[in-house]
Amino acid sequence: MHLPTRVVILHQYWEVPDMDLIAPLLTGYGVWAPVAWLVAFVAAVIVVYLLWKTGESSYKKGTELERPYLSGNVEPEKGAVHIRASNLYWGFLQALKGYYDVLVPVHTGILSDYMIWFVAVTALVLVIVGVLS
Amino acid sequence: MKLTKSFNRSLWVFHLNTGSCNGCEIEIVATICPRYDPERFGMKLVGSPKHADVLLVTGPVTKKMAAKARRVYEQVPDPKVVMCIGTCGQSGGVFYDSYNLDGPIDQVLPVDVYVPGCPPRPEAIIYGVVKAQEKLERLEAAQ
Amino acid sequence: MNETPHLSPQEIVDLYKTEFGTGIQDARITERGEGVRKTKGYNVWIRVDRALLKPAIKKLIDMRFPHLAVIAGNDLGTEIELLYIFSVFYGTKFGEYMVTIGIRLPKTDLTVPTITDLIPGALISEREKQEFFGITVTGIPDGRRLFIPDEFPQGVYPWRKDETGIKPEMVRELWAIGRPKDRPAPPVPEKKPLQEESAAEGKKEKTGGAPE
Repeated sequence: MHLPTRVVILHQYWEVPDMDLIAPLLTGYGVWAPVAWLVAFVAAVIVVYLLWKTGESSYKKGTELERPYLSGNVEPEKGAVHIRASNLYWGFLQALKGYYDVLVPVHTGILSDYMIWFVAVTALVLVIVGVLS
Repeated sequence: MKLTKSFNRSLWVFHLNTGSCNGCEIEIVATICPRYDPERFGMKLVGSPKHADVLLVTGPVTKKMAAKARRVYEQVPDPKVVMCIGTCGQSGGVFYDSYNLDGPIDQVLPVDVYVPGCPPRPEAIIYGVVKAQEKLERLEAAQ
Repeated sequence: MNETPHLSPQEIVDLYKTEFGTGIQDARITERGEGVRKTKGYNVWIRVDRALLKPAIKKLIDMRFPHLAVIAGNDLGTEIELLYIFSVFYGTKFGEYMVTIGIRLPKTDLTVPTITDLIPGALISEREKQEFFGITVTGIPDGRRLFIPDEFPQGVYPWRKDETGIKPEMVRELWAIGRPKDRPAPPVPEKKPLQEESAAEGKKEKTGGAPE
């Protein structure tokens, strides 16, 4: 049975070397088609604008109405209530507390201490390697 | 400040305590209870002044609470009704000569309806709410 | 921990007397009838020297941990009396009663040790006594002002009855302050009072009904 001519041509087409480099250009954008994304953004903006328009526009700007309700207290400035990102792994630090209690004081900041550790561990490793081999 | 028709039907109430002994609070909670059942009119207690139409203020205004009461009053969006429950906020009540108070409530924020009593009965509080609604109806008719 | 079984008030007073002896200045039991059936309710009042305050409270804790209701204070002229009011034996029906341990502080030496190491919740009441009476609670973990605003003058102790109390010029009379005059006029006028309307109605009816 004869193969259709187009398929024969494609079959030959795929034998071109370095096909893998330009293959993505030939399959189209798929989900990343920019025109489709533009249309979706514009639709979302229209929906959001319609929802925002149904809100109350006759409020006094710049007064207490814009600030959060904190039982009548003044809202502190953002710098005063910031939490450092390192608080995210608090649980990790609590669980390995024994390890941290031993290891953090060892990091004295003195360069010669670090050099001693380096030399000592290198010597130990060389000794072990010499013994094992 | 526009008054919609639904404003007269279901008022959401926020309660603010400026140093009260909690007697008026107990009577407010008794008013919300099923015996008098204002919830069939759609009235309920809300947790934030930004959701409220009516601000119920109890207690004489202690010095520490005066600025906070003013701030909460400003956070209630227009249109609003302020009701003063109890005699502490009107003339001091039992604290008529005190060293730690910042005056009756109307020195701190403007009040629409005064409900006297120590504490006022739930019937008196409901009558006060009726008076507030009458005032709102007059406002709406005048617009 | 071993909890002692329920003791009667007289047994508590006897325990205190045998342990502290002369340190106890006064021990009384008052009795009253509560309710329609006149169920017996008791109050035990024990006054001790200041040095025996913490051992006395420790004794109550060892018996069965009490509930500290409040630390009450009183200005007696030359002394300030502090009453540590506990309620003991909670849980037994009609078996709970109040035990009050009182001490008197001379105004020349107004210090008292803190009991927050025995009962951490006493901090609130101790702070209150510190700011309202001007006593010093030694060893208190947090001695800030609690109820009084920070702008209040420092040497004034509101609950004292002597010259450090509230002076008349600090008192603000709320009943004398009338309605504020600077409010804008209400947007709609008030309704006419009902008596005028019904008087007008009554007159009209009388004139209308007379010729008939």
